[in-house]
Amino acid sequence: MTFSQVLTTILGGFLLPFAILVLWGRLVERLGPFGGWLAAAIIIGPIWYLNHGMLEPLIVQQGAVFIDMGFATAIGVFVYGLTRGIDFPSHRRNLLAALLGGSLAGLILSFL
Amino acid sequence: MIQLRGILAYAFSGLMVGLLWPLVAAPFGSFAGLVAGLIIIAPTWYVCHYLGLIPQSKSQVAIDMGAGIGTSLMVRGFLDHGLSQTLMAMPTFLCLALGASLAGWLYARIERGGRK
Repeated sequence: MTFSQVLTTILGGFLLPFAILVLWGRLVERLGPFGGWLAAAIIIGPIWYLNHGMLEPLIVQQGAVFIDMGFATAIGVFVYGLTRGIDFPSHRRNLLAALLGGSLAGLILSFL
Repeated sequence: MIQLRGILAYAFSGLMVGLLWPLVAAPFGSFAGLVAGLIIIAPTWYVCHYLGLIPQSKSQVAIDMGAGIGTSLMVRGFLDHGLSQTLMAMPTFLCLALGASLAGWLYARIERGGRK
């Protein structure tokens, strides 16, 4: 990875969680479940194009293993919670559930 | 039981994206994200977070369904291509994590607001 690729990858990781933290909760508060639908379209659409869809995407992939921008969302929201002062042990179970569930889905996807 | 429900919910989000994205969204090219947002991400979000299939509360840090999606795609890559390819992808992952942490930290600081 060159230095500029490192910078664009960091920027790509920054964009999605920031947009989600700013917009998603507010849209859901205002519009209910329809707000979530709207948020999914107007956040995931453009930011997926920037992060993965362009010919030279912001998140530079290396090797055959695909690193999805979903990780960025999870880590961003997680750090946001930690910074707001919610203690770490309270969500260890959910973290474990996410890793187990993701691995299960990956296993199924690999077999199919 | 609640934990099992959470595991299944994360697996569901990973499967939705992993199975449906190549079928539904990929043919749209540059607009794949928009179509996928409407057809795949929004229903998954509705089931997982809005209906509360993933157990969460105000006192817990939310683990987004993105963790399930990312982990499932990475585990599939690991099983298909082996450990060396996974390690090769790690710099991307670290940079992504750095950017995401920056976003979460910055937004929490902005929300808290002002100089203390």
